[in-house]
Amino acid sequence: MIKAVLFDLGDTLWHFPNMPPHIVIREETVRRINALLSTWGIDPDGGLLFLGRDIRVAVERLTAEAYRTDFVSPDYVDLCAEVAGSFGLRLTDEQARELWDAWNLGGQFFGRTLFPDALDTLRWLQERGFKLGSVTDRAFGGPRFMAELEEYGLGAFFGVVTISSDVGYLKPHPKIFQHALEALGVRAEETVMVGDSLRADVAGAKGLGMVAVWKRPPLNEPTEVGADKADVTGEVAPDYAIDNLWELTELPVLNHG
Amino acid sequence: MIRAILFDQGDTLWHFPRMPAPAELGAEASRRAVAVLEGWGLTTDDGLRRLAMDTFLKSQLAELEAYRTHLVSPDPAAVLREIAAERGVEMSLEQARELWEGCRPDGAFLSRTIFADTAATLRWARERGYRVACVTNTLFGGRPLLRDFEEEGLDGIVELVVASCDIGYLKPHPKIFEHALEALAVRPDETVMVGDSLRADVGGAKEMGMTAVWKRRTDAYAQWEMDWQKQGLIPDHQPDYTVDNLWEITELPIFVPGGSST
Repeated sequence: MIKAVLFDLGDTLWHFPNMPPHIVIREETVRRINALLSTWGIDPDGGLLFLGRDIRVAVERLTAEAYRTDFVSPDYVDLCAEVAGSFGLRLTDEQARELWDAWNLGGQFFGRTLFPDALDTLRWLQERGFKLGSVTDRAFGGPRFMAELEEYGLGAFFGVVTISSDVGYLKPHPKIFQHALEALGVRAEETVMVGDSLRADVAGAKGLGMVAVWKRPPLNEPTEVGADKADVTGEVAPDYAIDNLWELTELPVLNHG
Repeated sequence: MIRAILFDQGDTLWHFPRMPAPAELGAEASRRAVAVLEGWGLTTDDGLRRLAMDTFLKSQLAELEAYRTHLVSPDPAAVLREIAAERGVEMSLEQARELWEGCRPDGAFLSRTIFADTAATLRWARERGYRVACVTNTLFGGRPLLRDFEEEGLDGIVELVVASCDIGYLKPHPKIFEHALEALAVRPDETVMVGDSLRADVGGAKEMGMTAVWKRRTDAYAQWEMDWQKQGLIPDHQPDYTVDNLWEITELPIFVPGGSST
């Protein structure tokens, strides 16, 4: 019997239908990093203009490499220190953390938008006694991201939010799912995983014996850097496929009275 | 009486439905830049390998700033030359321009796709006797831009291509439009501007006294422009006509039967 439902976030509960143009994102990144450098007494002029761009390139490269190999989440704060080092800046651990924080513009800036039926669906599940949680691949977690979840009204629903960069493993690695299952006190076969990636969500969930629901992703929409891509190819078939979250309320496994 | 039609380029004549991610674009531009530099007999170090992508970012940021304020276009070749000098390589502006033009990825890489009715619409305009030109905001002008028109089979149809980075002014600055109007020997009130940007194309045309046709777009960029209008950051100009496809302009009442020569 199903006791819990876990959700992916990007392109599952929310999406980015109005992502700003790349150059607007770049301009804001430069602005925030320059402001940070100024507080350290560093003149941001000259070559440091490219610092934010190089962090992005490194984030993309390391994340792609992790997906290709061991699904161990890269250490992004270390990466910031390393990239800054290539510009001749020697950062303390605290400064590297501040740089990583400044580089992250936050979901609001990217036009993050909940799907219209997201909150209703979560409420429907919660009212029927299902434990809810989120398992998400993201480069940026921690308290600031949890605060963002609150802003979208999601905090109240989730008994656990497991973020790859916080637990060290990317979906589909079993450990990130196990973290969420343990926190909720449920077994894999008692759990439904809902997500848009056939590789990260569906294959990951099925590997542990969970029920996998594939939410077909919106096509041609951008995703955040370091988030799991909307993967529409995979070797593992989902148990169910849906286009809208509310369809979950009609699935037999979630309607056992 | 209308005698000339000016077209914007990107998202008006063609679009880029599978534009590679910025990192892929940067890698491709760097690869091309290295080929040019090594052709000059230079050994490329890390700083030179990044020259193209750094030039692009710096020029793009300057262009965005200009677009919101003074509308004076940066010259990417000058930007490239300056960055190269900081990295210990002196070159002439001509060399910098050759390198910049050489590092632009080709149309196939960028996924450039001409709209199905573009050639037919432009040919219709020329057959009716209208002068046809392209006026575009871009950091890539010069030869590679002309080659785009050749590759799409439009080089015999479009009489003139005016690029902001070559002229030094961005749409909606009057000077870039004036450059095209003078070359075609037409007045603003004889000219129609067709484009997808409310600020660059519609706003620019209306401020010049041209007829403005907005090729509607509904994506994030259009949303941004409309937000800018609402916030009063850019003037709230309304197009004279709105179309979804280029061929629709052939049905507009301004183009009287028989064309401009009657």
